[in-house]
Amino acid sequence: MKKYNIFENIKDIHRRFLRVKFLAWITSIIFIILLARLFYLQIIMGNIYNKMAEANCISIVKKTAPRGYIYDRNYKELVINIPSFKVALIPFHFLKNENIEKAIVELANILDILPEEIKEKIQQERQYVLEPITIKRNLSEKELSLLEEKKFYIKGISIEQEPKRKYPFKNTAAHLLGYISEITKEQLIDSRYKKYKAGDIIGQSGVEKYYDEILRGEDGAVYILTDAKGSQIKNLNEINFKQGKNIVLTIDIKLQKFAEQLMEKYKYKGVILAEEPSTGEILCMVSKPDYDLTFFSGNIDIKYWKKLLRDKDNPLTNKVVQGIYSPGSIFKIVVGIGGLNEKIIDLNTSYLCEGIYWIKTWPYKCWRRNGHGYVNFFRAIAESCDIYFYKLGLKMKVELLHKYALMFGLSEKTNIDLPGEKSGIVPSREWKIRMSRLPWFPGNTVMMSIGQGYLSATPLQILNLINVIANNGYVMQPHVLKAITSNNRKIYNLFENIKLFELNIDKNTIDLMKTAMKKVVNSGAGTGKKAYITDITVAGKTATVENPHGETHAMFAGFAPYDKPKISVLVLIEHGGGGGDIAAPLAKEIIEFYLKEIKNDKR
Amino acid sequence: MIKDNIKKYFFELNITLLVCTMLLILIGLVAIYSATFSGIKFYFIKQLIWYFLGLIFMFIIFNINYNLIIQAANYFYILFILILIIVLVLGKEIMGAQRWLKLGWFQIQPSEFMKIIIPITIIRFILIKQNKAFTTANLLKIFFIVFLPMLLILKQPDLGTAILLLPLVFIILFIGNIKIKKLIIILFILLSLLPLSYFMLKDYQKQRLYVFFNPEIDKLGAGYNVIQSQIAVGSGKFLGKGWLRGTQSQLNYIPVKYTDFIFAVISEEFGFLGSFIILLIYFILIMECFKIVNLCKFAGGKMLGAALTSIILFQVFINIGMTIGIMPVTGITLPLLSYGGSSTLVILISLGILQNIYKEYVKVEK
Repeated sequence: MKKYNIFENIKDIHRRFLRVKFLAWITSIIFIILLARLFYLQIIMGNIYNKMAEANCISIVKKTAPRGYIYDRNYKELVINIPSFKVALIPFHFLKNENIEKAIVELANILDILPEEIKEKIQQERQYVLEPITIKRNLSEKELSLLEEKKFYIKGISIEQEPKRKYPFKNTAAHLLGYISEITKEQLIDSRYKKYKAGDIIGQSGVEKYYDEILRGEDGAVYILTDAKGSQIKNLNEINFKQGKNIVLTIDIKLQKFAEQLMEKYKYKGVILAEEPSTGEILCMVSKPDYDLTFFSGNIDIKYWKKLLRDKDNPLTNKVVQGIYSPGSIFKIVVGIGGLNEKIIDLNTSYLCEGIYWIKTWPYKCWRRNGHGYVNFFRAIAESCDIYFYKLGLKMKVELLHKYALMFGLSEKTNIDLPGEKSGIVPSREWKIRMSRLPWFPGNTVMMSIGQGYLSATPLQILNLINVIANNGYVMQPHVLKAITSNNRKIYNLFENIKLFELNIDKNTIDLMKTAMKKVVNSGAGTGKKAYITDITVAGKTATVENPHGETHAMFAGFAPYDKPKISVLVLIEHGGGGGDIAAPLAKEIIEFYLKEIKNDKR
Repeated sequence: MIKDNIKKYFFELNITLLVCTMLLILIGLVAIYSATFSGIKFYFIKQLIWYFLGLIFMFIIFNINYNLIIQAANYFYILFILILIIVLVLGKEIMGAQRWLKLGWFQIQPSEFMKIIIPITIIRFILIKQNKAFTTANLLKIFFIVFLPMLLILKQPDLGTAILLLPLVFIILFIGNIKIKKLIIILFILLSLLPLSYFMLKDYQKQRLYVFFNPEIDKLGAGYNVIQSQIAVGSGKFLGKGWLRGTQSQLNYIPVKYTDFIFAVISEEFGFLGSFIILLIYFILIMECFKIVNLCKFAGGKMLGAALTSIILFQVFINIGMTIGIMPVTGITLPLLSYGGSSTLVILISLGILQNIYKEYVKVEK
C-alpha cells in the first residue's frame, strides 16, 4: 500500500484550524437555542403545561348537587325536587362497541331523537374519557325499560338518577319562580357565566335565576387517574356535593292563587301586584299571560317552547318588572303633592273644568266630556279631573314635574331581587331634544301632568307611588326573598328590610293626599268607589290609560286599612277599559281576601 | 509490569471523553428504566447488554489505528450496500418501516452503520485524490457514494438517517478544505433539488411536516406526539416530577418514549435542571471531540473526527429539537440515551475512533 505523503503548508493547517473552530461556534449556538427553548417550556410556560398534563390524565366525573327548594312565606312548597332518570354514554366504553353506527341508530330510535344529535355530543368531547355524556334527561318509563334491555348489548350506556324540578302549583307564580334549563351555547361564551360549565343546569328567569348561586349548591366530583388509553388507574379524590340552600319567599301562595284565579276568570291580561308597604315584602305577583312550569321540568318541551316564543303577548316576560306602562292618573299623586309643596296650589285653589282645554288650536279633553265645573284639590283627586292637572302642570312646568317624578322613584330601578328589571322614562326638555331633536311643547307638559305621553314606569314603580302615601313619606325596598334556610328550617339569613327612598316633604302635605285618596274610594263621586269595602277603609287611585293599541288600560292602585296599611295593591288590566269599573273591583277582592281570609286565619 | 501497561493505556485515553461517555450511559440506564417501568422491563436488560457490548467495541476500536479503518472503507461500503439490499428484501417491518435485519436473538439496523461507513469511504476517496479531490468530476463521484446508500435507506423508509447523511458530507468537504465558493454552489444545487424531493415523501412524512408547522391541526393524530412531548417537557418545570413520577411518561401519554422521545421522559421527571445537566454533558463531550480534531495532525483524522462529532451533534439537535417542538418528528435517536442496539453501537464505535485519533496524537507527541 502506498504510504500517504501528506504535505500541508502552514496556511492550510491554519485554515483547517479555523474551520473546526467555526464548527465549535455553531455547536455553541445550537446548544443555546436548545437551552433557550427548554427555559421557555419549563420555566416560563411550566405552570401552563403542568395544568395541561393534569388535564390529560385526570378525568373528572361531575356529581350534580340537587337544587334547593322554594317555599312561600308559610313554608308551603312551591318548587321541589323529585327523582328522574337520564341516559348518558361513557365514550371510553361506548366507542369499544363493534358497530358504533348501529348502536347510535338504535339508541336514537328508543329516545326519539336524531342519530346526529348523539354523534355531535360524543364528538364534542375528548375521545377517550370516563366522564358520562348526557344524551337525554327525564326518561319515560317505556324508554327506561327499553334502555335497560339494550344495556346488555351496547357497552357504555349509563342510566343515572338525577333530581328534577316539580311544581306543585303548576303555573301559579310562574314568572316569579322562573324556569331552569341546561346552560345554552350562547351563555357558555358569555363572560358573565364564566363559573358555569357545559351541561350545567341553571336558572333562566325569576327567582331561579336571581338566586341561582344560592339554590344550585356546590357540585361534587370524582377525580379519576387515567392513562393514555383512557383506562381507569385509580380514584384520586372524591368531593361530595353540597345541596343548594332553600329559599323562602315573601309571597303568600293562597293570595297568589286567588289573584291568578281572578285574572283567569275574566281572561284578563295584565298585572296584579300586592305588597306589604311597611316591609316591602311582595305578597303576590301576577303577570298574565303566563306559562306552565311543568313543561320546563326535565327536558323543555320544544313544541311548547316554540309556541311561547311565537306568542305576541310575550307570556315569558314578567310584566311586573319588565312591562313599561304610562302611570296615567296615578301620577296625579306626584303632581298634586308637587303643587302643594311648591305652594302653587292650596286646598282652596279651584280651577274651572269645561270638559275641554285649548292650547292654541289643540284641544285637550277631560275624561268627563261635559266637565267638572270648578274643582278644588280634593275633588280633583277624587274625581280625577284632568283639566285641573293640565292647569297645575302648566304652572309647575316640566322642570318641576321632572323633579317630583324623580323624587318618587320613577326612572330609577327599584332593585327588586328579580332579573331583568326595567327603569322606565321620566322625560325632560333635554331628554326630548336628545331623543327627537324637537323642542318641548306645552302639550307635552299637559300630557305629562296626567301621567301620559312620554312618561312611563313599571308596575312596581307605580305601586311605589301608592306606598309612599301609605307609609307617610317613605318606601321600603321591595323584595321577594324572605329568608334562606337549610333543610331543617335553620335560617341562614333573613332579608333585612331597608328603606328605598324617603320624601323630603312635609308630613301634612302627604296626609292631605292620603285623605284625597280615601275620598277616591269612599266619596259618592269618587272614581274608585267600586273598591269600597264596608268594614275596611280603602284608599287608592284609579287610572284609565290611553294607549295607541286599542282599548284603554284599566288601573287601580290602593292600600288598606287606611290607618295602618297592611297591604298595597296594584291591579293593571291591559285593554280592560275604565280603571274604576274594571280594576277597582278586583283590587277590592284582593284586599278583602287578604285582610279577612288570610290575616284572620292567623289570628 | 502489568501495572505500568495499564497506566500507559489510561494515559492514552482521553479522560474527559470517557467520563462524559460513562455519565451518559448511566443517565441512559436511569431514563430507560423509567421509560419502560410501566411497560416491558425486558428492554432495560437488553439495553444493558447493548451498552456492555458497545463499550467492548469501543475499547477494541480504540486500539486499531483509524488509518487502517479508512483504508478498509471500500470493503465495508460494498458489504453494507449488499446488506441494505437484503434488508429491503428480507427485512423485518417495525412500525411501518423495513429497517431491521434479524440476526438470531437480536436485530440490527444497518442504516445506522452507514453513518460511519459513508464518511470513511468519502474520506478515503478524498485522501487518494489529494489536491484533485474537489474537481467537478470527483465531487460528482463523492455524491454518488452518498446517494446510492441514501436511496436504499429512503426506500426503507428511514428519512431521518438519510437526511442526516447530507450535512455529514458537507462537514467532510468543509474540513477537507474545499473552497467556500464551491461549497456554496453545491449547497444551492442541493437546495434547488429540495422541492423535487418533497414529491418523493410518503404521506405520513408530509403529514409530519405539516404538523411540525402547526401541531393543532391534528391533535389526536400526527400532532399528538408533538403536543404530548411538549406538555411532558413543560410540565417538568424546574426540578421535575421525580424519577418514575412523570404522569405523561408513566401513563403512556408520550409515544415511543424509550427511543425517540426519551428526552421528554427525562425532562418531565428531572425538570429544567436535569435537562440542563444533560445538555452540559453533551456540550462538553462535543467540544472535547472538536479539541481532539484540532490536535490531530493529519487531514484524514481531522475529517473523520469532525464527521463523527457532527453525527453526535446533529442527532442531539434533531432529537431534542423534535421533543421540544423546534424540529419535525423523525426517527433519529438521542445518542447513548435512547434505547436501541444499533444506534448505541454506532455512537460507541464513533467514540472509540475519536479516542483512537487522540491516542495517535499522544503517541506522536511522545
